[in-house]
Amino acid sequence: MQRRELLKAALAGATGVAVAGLHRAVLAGADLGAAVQQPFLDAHQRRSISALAELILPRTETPGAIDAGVPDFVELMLSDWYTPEEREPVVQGLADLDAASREAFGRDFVDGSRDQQTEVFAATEGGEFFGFFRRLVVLGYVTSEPGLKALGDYRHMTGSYNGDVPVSQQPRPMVNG
Amino acid sequence: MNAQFDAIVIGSGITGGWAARELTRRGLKTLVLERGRRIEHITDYQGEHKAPWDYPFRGRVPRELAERDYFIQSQFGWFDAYGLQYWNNDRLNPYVQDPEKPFHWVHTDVLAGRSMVWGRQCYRWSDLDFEANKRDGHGIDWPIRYADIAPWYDHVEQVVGVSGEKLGLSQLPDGLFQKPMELNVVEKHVQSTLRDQFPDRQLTVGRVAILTEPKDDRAACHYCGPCHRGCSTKSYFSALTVTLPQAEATGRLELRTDAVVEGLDVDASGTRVTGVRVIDAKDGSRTRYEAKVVFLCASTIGSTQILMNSAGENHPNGLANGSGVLGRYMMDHTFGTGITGLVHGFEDRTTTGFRPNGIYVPRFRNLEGQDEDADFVRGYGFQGGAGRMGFTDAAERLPGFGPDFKKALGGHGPWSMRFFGFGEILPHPDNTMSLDPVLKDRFGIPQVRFDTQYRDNEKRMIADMMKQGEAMLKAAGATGISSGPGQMIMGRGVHEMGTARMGHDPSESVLNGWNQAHEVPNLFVTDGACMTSGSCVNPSITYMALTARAANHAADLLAEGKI
Repeated sequence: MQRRELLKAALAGATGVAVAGLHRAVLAGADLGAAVQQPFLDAHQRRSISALAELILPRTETPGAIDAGVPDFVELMLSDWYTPEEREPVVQGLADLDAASREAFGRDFVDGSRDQQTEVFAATEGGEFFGFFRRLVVLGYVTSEPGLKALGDYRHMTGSYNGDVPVSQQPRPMVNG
Repeated sequence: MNAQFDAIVIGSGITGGWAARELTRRGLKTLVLERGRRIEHITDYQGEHKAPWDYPFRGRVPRELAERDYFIQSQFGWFDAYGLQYWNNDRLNPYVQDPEKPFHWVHTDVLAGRSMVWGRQCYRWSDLDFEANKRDGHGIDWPIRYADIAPWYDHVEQVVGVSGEKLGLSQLPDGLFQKPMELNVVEKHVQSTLRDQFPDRQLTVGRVAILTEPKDDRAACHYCGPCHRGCSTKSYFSALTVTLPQAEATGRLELRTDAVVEGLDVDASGTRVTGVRVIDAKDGSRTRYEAKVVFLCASTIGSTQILMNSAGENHPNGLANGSGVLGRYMMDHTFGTGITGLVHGFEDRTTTGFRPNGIYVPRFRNLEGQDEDADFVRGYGFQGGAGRMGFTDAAERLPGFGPDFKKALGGHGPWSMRFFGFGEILPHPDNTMSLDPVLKDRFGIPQVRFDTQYRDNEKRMIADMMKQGEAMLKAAGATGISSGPGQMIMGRGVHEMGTARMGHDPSESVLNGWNQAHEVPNLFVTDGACMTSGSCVNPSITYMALTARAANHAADLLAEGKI
């Protein structure tokens, strides 16, 4: 079955958990970047966004930003959600990272070592770009399947509510998205 | 009279479903007209149990679409991609408002209406409410008291299924409840704080139209959380899953969706509705239906719009509007006032499951006459609850980035406790809706225009909410307490009420004590339009009780040949 047909079948039959799971799996495997309606980023900006997202939420014992598809989500939001005016701090911030990296290390931000990238990005903490970009990366991560399941105990059918549970029994917060 | 139907019910939501259920069960052949599209149980719950990653914008409605088609609805908290199919399209169905005095008309455009997405909180009125207008002189006296409606609360609660705790309070009568949902550990802490330090106040879990025990063909809540996406186990009450199917089971229900009511026809004497004029929303074709009795259950604004657009020779200012009060005394509940703080000492405790309900602090102001320190009349209640803060909040608080930042994101956040005030808005003659003299909608029906605002009593009440809410959180040991009055926009409470009020005297009211139009005895209005005052509690269960009471009265009158 083609992906489109899978999606159609999944959307038509909201009754079955199995079908919903299929829909989810299809989307998780889908390249959300391909869904961008008004693309404007160039290849260099895309690479910078990926590097920066992974710097903020790196792969550790749990999936990192790239594993969770965060760069594609950031591109979607910048392209199709925010207006050119609203996204300007990010566009400018990415250019500023390059300028700072070239001055300090003689290369663009994305081509720097992890330590060099860390130093350049850390210098922006407290500024508009840092807050905006980090918020977007976190949002993309905690609303992705790998990210949410890494941070929380994801459930959509719990069957009960318990208002007083020792954290020792529930070390990760229960989340429903 | 040789009518096609015994009864026509206009609207299929919280009240229309009840009118249909009662009328059909009394043996009446009933037509329900719904202007929205037909939806089906389960099939149309596209977002139920979906995850954020199932949507490109992770559960948000694409911004361009929201700004173009849902510019009013999208400002409401529960508007999201999971339940987009229910909401009214603001571009296709415009209304007129003064930007200086905005009114937010939050509503759906589907079968079963807002019963699909309602907050489900169910609180009985008491005589403190029914006598309020008479006592302080705002508005006119209600033609009924608690004793008139109490048996009908029993009647509807037994069908709806309301879970909650009995408190024995005179200002908030107990109902027929299933077992209450559970308070969490911090809510219990605040509850005991109030018990010790504010003996006039109580904190209980919300009384809510969600099953905690199985009932009929409906299962107890499975605690997935977001009811407003639809519930395949029918655990929350909606017209789609309870009242309309029960009406259908009688074999006497006919249902027409995409049926926009343009107006009502009356006979030559002007004292009897003879027909309902309908425009098909899909193809524009026109039909006229006849019945012996007509129930307007089209929502406060929808019903009054229909009455206004039914003006004619005998009713120059709108049908049943000899009093001139039709469209006046629009009310809502104050909404958006929030008080929040961080509660400490429970860092080793958390919750499991997603309780689709919060806490309730029943009204404690101006109960025995006017409180000495209150510079406002009437009162308010608090909803809200406690919970541990989530990942996105943590991201705002935590410094840095990288592995340590990522690790810290995943922990349990601090406990926060929130109160949200819901206050009574006084009936004021100059809070109005009317028909625009020029602008028409896509069906050629005059657009509704609003002229409403919060006034001094509401603003003083909101200031008191913040003061009292902060004091309670402080007593519970909370830190970082903050509060805000909210936007104070009429309609945002989504409890719009009034504009066709009940009363004893036909010269100052539209409806009598049975929700029956004084001037047109075979016409009943049983949705929020009928309200003479607003109380501070969520109104739906009262609308349901009034509707069931009126429908059975109408059936009695028909049987006796009186209408």
